[in-house]
Amino acid sequence: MHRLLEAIFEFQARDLIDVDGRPCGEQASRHFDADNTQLIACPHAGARHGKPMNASALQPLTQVWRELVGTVSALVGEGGTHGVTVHGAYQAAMACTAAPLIFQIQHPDQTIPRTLSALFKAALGFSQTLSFLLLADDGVADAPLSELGDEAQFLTYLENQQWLVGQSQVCAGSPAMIGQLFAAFSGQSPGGRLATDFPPGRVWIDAVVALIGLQMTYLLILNTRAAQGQSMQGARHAHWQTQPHAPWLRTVAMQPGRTPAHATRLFPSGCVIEPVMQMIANDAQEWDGIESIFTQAVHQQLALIN
Amino acid sequence: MQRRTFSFASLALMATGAGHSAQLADNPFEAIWTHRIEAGVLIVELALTNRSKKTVFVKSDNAFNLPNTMQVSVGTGRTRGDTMARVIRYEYVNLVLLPTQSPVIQSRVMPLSPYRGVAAGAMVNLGQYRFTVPEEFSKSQMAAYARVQTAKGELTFQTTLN
Repeated sequence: MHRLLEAIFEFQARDLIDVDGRPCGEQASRHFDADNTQLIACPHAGARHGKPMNASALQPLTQVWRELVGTVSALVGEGGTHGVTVHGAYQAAMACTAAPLIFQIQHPDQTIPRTLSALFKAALGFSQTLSFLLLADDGVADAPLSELGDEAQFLTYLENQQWLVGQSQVCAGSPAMIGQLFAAFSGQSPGGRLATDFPPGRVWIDAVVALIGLQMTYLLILNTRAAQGQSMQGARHAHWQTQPHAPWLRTVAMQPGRTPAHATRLFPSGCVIEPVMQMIANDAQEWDGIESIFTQAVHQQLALIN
Repeated sequence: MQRRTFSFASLALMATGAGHSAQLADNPFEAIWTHRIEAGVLIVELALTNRSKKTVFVKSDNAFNLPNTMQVSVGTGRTRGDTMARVIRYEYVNLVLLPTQSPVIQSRVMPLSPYRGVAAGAMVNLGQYRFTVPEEFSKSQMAAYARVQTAKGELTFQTTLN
């Protein structure tokens, strides 16, 4: 598989080292250094109170906080008539999580700038929550994010759904920081500018979102067939299918009753990319057909990035 | 066309407790659970036996083909212990530790041949599932949940682990 494709699908951005010597993905990375990390008891109220929190990761993030919020604001823009949609916010979150990888391709001899590492960390939770929201129902992609609720209701949602508590650490962001980022993702913090180091252009962002959409579609079809006990002969057996690290892939299997058609929910109405529609239409056929559409489509998107 | 409206509350993770499972009225199986803790790892084993002791033929067109999908989850039993269903890969089973922290606290993929050892017999061994249980759960009453998808519906089984 193409190296970049593998890096995106296997979520390898988490292993990239930033200028502070920290892996972008912190504990999720193979390069996480526990000896160089200060864990404190989470001071924030709610389910995460008292649980281990990574204070070392938070410190550099606060240093570039304004730049970080400004970048998110610039990415989402002002949105349409009713504001930034859930899909628009999701697209921005995916751009933030992919930015370190794209930067590394464009600057192979440089370490990841602090701003991009911080963006990755800050947007990671949003990428998971927003992809979960998209998959939850038809039409969510077109809904303005601010229509779902305000900052306080978003925090309540995160708390009630236990999104802030991880396997061994909790989210380190304060309620105020999460609220500010939510405002930025929903287009309520206008006037932001992209960070200097943020990879320029939007073509790569569209390509990354398309690639992730294809990946999730593939997994939805695979999982649906598996649930029906159908043969998987001819399907690829990549690591991301059985041990998905990417937060967006976790949302695919997080709720019962997912079907391949749910992949269309990842896109605004009328904007579902053609290969996704073709894969869904072929989901009852032999794997060779799905594999062929998938392979061709991902290479088309990769060509746009390169 | 009028656009639908949503809220965070309406899109919250679906609670799939009562009403989710289409329990077979004539559930022919009985679950046999065993569990133990070894070096901090909770090991849950599950086997099914058919009550009639008749042979269970496992074929794709059999009413009780086992198990196309399989979920075993462990939770405290205090809240929504069986909230999450995991899609099961062919010959693999996804394991989830639930429920009082993040939606996915632990997820494991272990090999499980849907038809292995089930060709004919009164008992179906559905394998061994390992969970690393957070310390704060160790004093709680814990429960294990299993869902088995059959051609006619879904069977659910539950046991307490204390």
